[in-house]
Amino acid sequence: MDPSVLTTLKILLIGQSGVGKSCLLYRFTDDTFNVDNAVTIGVDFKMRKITVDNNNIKLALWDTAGQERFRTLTPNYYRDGQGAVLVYDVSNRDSFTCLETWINELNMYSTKPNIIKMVVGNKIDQERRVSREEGIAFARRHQTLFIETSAKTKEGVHMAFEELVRKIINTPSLWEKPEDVNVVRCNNENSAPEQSYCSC
Amino acid sequence: MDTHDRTAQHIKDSLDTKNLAECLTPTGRFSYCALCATSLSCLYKDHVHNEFKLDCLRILCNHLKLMLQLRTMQEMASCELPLDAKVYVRSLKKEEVLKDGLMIIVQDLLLLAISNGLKVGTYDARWRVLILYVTRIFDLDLNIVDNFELQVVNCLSNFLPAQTEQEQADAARRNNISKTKRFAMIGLASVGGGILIGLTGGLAAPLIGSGLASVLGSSAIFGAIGTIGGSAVIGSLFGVAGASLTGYKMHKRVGDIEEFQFHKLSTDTETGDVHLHITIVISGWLSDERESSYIQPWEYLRDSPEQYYLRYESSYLLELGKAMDYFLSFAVSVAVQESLKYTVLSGLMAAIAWPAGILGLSSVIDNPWGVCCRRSAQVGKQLADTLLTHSHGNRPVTLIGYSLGARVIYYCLREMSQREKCHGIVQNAILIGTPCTRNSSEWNKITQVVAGRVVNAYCRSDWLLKFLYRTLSMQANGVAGLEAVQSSNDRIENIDLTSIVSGHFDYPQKLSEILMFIGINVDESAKLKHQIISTQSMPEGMCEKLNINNHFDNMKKSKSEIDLAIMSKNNEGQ
Repeated sequence: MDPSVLTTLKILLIGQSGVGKSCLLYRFTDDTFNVDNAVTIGVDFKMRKITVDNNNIKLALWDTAGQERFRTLTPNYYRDGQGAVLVYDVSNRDSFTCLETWINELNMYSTKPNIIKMVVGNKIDQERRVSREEGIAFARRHQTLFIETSAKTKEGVHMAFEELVRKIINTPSLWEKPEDVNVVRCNNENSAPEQSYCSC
Repeated sequence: MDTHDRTAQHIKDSLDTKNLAECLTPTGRFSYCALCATSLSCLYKDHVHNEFKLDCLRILCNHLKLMLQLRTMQEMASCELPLDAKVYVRSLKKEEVLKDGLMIIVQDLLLLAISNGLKVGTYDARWRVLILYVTRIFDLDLNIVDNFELQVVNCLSNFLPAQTEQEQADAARRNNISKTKRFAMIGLASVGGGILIGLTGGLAAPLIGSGLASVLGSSAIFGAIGTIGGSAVIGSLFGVAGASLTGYKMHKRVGDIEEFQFHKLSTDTETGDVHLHITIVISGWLSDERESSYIQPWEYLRDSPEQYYLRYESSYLLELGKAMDYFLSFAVSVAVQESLKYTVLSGLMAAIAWPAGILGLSSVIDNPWGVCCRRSAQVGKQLADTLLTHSHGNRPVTLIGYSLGARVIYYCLREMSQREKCHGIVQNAILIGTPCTRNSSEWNKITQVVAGRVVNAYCRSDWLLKFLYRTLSMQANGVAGLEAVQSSNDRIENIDLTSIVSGHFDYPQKLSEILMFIGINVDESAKLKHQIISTQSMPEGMCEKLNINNHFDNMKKSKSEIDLAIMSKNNEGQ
């Protein structure tokens, strides 16, 4: 394995059909945007390297299908996920209201109890049906991160994934392997002062 | 002959029937593909199989129109912790096309594998193991795979299209074309499409026809594989017709082997003489000169419709057999044997503890044993050569052997593991009472070569094997025929036969019972004879069985420890 890579994280993309999960993924991995993206069949997989706080991290991104007919299959992929991106469409109220069921499903099937969740309101380039405040309130209630994005205009996409990864990295119990405890310790010591400056 | 009419009917049927990939919903297609990907991740963890996995998934994705999903499937197939396959099975059961059962998926997968086999010229053992694995996940009888293969082969070999003079001339010309050229032509067909069918005769059809995989019965076979030139093609590509093992001649000798021949074990003419899977069995020693002493132990074996036995070094094996007989009947009394059994079981016996009577007679058996051990290792290398050159055809082979026969297999696999293109030839390897090392790294190497099961069946009370290895330095690693092989990978199935056999001498007589216990198909009459229900199982299922065995082990062990304690007490008293 590449020694410069700190770890590989498994990130899930979850949410109702048509909210733009695949568009977010393609924007993030290939920097492309396609309005008439085909419906995801089952699950899609992408890999991307990202650097957060001087740590090189590999992301294994699992983009699950939102369509009802795949509902029985997708929870299979929640296992061992370290981060989950729960996506809704700000121009579609339904997609926001059913987020509750998605989050419940995630909690039920994820094997890591402290999995980092992030609620993402996508399509902010379109006419709003869900306000930013509602989104924040929902995220607060479920103790998740929150961000609004637009896969079309690129806004917030990279930041969303970066934030999520940063949060995961700061929760070593999620990704630390027993054998490389020492390595991680050193790393934490190095990065701790930096962070204290940041948070000031 | 109504062959022509039947053929015409078949072709008509295949046009009427539809492609399974088109009948499934996207969920079904995804589940089918993901199920195979997950199965591959369970079956082939070693990186040497990555190329095969990718090929396999590419074919599947192409067939199921999921080419965009290839990367995802690849990821699923390389998961260290395989995903839950049951989810996909449930999802497939909901499919409208599959309401009559999941057997259709197995058929489809098999047709895919065979049409690919015809394309590349080899029916890879790993494909076959994958099909069997999926069949097991579906909770279907594994025999349907055999049956379906038979159907395909019969269908293809009986199918002889009406030939005009021109076509006959073409056929004659085609036969002269070297194999490589023929593949090149098949490759071309994919570029030129329909026009080339006329030029290459039926040969281009496997590729073009493979898109027609249909849902129903035998017509599906033609749908999937196309109207190829019958037995000639299946024979040349799979090597089933031309390359008969019984006609195998040693061109290059390994070491100083004197005898190395294959003979047909069963002459089951009912099912025809071309098959897509063969079994080679190897005996450990001979009790008399007659041919039957090779065949007898394997009488009830029904692992494949085409079974061979390897005749090797008869004179030496016979000498060993005689020595063993003598050793057993004259030198070692039943009482001594019984006590030896338990002493061996305890595993505490040092070399010095052998009764003097036995040691005195050791020369009787040590010499023929040593000779046979050396020769069987060489025979193993010769067998590896034979298999690597595909003398048995380009189809999966299962190897089963006991005692020195298992040693032949061990050395065969070890030799293969050191060569190129050694993967996908051997389907299963069943080693019973193997006189070879128990070193786990050596065994790990041989598991790479085998696509399916690697079984080490051993007997802890095998005092003869223990005796024969008394002076050798193998004690550190131990002997595979006496103990389980401890391995980091879960590919090796250790099966304890102590409850069935009491020692090395029992192997030939109790072979059908042992095979049944291991989960190899045996004749119904043998099943009745032993009153044991055979459980055909693959690695996972085996685990439960092993747990049960372990339980018995513990019981037995404690018993023998008590025996030992009593013995030592008696000694003290004296």
